[in-house]
Amino acid sequence: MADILNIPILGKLKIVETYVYYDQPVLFSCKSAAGHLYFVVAADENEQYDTWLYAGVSAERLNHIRSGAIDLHDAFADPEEGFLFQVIAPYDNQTPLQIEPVPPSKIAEDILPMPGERLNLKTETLPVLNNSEEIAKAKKQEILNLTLNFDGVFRTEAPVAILSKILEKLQNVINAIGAISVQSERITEDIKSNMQLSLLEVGAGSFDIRLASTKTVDLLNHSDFGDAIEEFLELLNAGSNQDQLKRLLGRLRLRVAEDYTEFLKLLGESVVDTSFKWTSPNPERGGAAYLSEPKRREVIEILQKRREEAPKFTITGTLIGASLKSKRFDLETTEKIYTGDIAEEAIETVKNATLSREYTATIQEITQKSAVTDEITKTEYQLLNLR
Amino acid sequence: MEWPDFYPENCPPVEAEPASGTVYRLVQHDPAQAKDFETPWEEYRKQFEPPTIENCGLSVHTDPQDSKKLRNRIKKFRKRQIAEGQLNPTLGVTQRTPSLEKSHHSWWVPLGTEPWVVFNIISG
Repeated sequence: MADILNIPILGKLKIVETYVYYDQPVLFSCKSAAGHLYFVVAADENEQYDTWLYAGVSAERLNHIRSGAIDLHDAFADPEEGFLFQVIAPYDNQTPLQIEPVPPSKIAEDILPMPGERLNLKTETLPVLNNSEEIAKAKKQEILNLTLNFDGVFRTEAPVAILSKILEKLQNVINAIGAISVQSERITEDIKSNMQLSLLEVGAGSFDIRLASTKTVDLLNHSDFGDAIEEFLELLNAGSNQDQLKRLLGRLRLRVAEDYTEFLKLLGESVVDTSFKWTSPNPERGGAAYLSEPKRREVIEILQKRREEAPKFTITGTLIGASLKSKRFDLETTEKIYTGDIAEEAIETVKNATLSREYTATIQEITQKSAVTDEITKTEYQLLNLR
Repeated sequence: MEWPDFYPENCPPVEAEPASGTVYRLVQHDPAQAKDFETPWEEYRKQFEPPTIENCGLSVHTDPQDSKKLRNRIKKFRKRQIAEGQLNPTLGVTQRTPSLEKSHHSWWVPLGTEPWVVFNIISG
């Protein structure tokens, strides 16, 4: 028998992965010394020789074959390079092996795998990311690696619509935390700019995305973004520990709790579990968090309960300020001015509201506590309804 | 149990269990012959590499559907027939070694046995 891993033209080949084994690898991928990848199948046998088909493949194409996006039939019937190598391997050791490039139209259909046969292997479609520490250090940016384990998605590809929503909600949480870090009532353009996440790259794993702060760290390797990420990871790591969560949310603004809840809810629509890893140019900083599906549900329950427990009341006053962009309101009564966030459910009514007009509003009161003394440091209001 | 002298050290593996139960093998002859039970090393790789635990074991399935699936996937085997065999501990040891076909097992056959006699063709 001729050596099917040492072929003229292709050279010496090394098996990368065996997909089907029967007495020997009969469906496998291999690599030449020059780095060319081939997808190979045992196609036929008779009294004198075996026939093998070698299809040159790119790494991307091989990943699509592995994941089942391309079936085994089309892997050979519709080769990426427009042709295949047909290898005749005689059993007689004296007869040399033959190889010839052939167009798929010249390949008999009955030696190709049946249409619809797929590998369906969990596939790392994309190359593994480079080292985050090196990137953070070189670019002087805070790096946040997000690993999303999507439910039911075999390849490491993710629906764009869902992914964009997740990233938007994540950005909202970071912005809200960023506003706290700089003790700002509103999420200003400046805060948004400081907290802005950029997509660096997408890599292998479940579904890995590497995000980076748009702003670089200062000379002391510090950034406001880093502060916000630190707080965010603390929140994630508090998990469903009620005391820890309440303490943290006590000092974070209501808006953070709201955005965090929205983020967690959205994750639950499509993601089984999520991992976060923060790498900072500052070697003293960094951290990681993991959020499982049961934990995520528990956290949402706690956050919603906390919201339900907060006292609600009705006031009548003049709407003196409203911003749909920053979701903030100001309502003046005879006694005081109530300022705070507009809840999602009140957005529609605020859209149709007129400034300087009198309204009756349902408001919820949330208190903030000092992280150190646990004393109430601030009272905030959230507008639930306006009529 | 005496094993072929070309078997490498630690072959068969200690994890392998005494052969038993019904297995299915794709064979080229009807009835199955000694040639259908040559070790893959002897049949395919003798000139190119030393024997290994893997290439000294014969492939069998414990689920006949897997043998049928294999014939659909790998057309080299499309003309082969499925032979059913009843194994017993005198016929060596087996170990589950799943491939794309989950019931794939490797079977190491001792010297002095005639495994083909316990196999019958069940499908053409």
